[in-house]
Amino acid sequence: MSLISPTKPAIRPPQPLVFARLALETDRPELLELLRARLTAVSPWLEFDAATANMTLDNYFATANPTVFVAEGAGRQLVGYWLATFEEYSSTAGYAICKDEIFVRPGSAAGEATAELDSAFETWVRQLKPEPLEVLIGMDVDLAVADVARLQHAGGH
Amino acid sequence: MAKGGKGGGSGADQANADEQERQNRVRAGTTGINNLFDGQFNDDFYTGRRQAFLDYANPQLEDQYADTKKQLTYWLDSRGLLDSSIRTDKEAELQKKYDLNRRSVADQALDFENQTRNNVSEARSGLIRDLTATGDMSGAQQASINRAGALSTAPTFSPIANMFGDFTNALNTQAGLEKAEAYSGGMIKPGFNTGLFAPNKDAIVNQR
Repeated sequence: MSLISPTKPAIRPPQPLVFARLALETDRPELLELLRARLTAVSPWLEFDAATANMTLDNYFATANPTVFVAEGAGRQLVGYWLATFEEYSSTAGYAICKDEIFVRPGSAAGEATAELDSAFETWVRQLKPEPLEVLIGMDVDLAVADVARLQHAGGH
Repeated sequence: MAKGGKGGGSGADQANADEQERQNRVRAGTTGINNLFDGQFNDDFYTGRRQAFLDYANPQLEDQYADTKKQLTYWLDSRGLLDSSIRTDKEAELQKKYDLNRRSVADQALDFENQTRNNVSEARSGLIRDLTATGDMSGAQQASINRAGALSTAPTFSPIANMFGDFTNALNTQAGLEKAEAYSGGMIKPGFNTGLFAPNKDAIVNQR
């Protein structure tokens, strides 16, 4: 029900709703751009290779390893993603989940996208059966970009 | 440390295989939800919602405008002002009020359209979230059909409020203020004085 008031109404703009979901094949072009943007932001001295990136996505669609979630924002535009892999141990049974990459485009939706991606990651990990023994977070999250750069340069890269 | 490739265990393979099946279902379900929503909730749908609001509200606005015009004519006639400049002023004022109200209705129609967009967007993301969490494709399919059906139902609106109430009230208020000024010996001051409503000093007054 909507009451029409004689007073001037406040027009509510369409709300950009950000939420995270599994990446779809139709996301591939945008997802490749996000992969490129992350590499440029985190490791600018590395050259983006579309063939390798496409192979990574092929593996995701064919094997779920890696798994890729995207954050969808206004106009269904992708504003971020995370990529996680299943990893086995060398000397114990079971496996770990490693969140290797997380990237969110700078912008007004960045905060919400990050929160949605984090929440989706937690939900996703919790439903895995059997459960992973450990959840490892990659350096995208643990360290600031500048710290990562220093470490990598110190390692001779 | 797990990183470093394949080890001897099979835990990852099993979890990975199960997850692969689940993700296939979730992706297929997500595509199904997208197809359903894209087919049903396109620009024509949202424009139609805005138009439905306008089709409901504008005739009521026109009726109110016509009634208020009649009231103004009666008010002017009862005071012998049909051929006065007051008539011109009041009609211009009423027209301005009508134009503002027309714009207000258009704004509210746009607001209604935007609200509908938000509702559809929330419904779609909620369905995909649930599907992603549960992996239940058939459940998501049924839920999306239900939600899309509910969102497609023709909207109901409440009758519009009196959008010219302040105009007709103002006619009576102005008359009251001018009379009050006369009765109070000038202690009450209206914002302006048309000189039309104060009691006639020459009128015969019954006194005991």
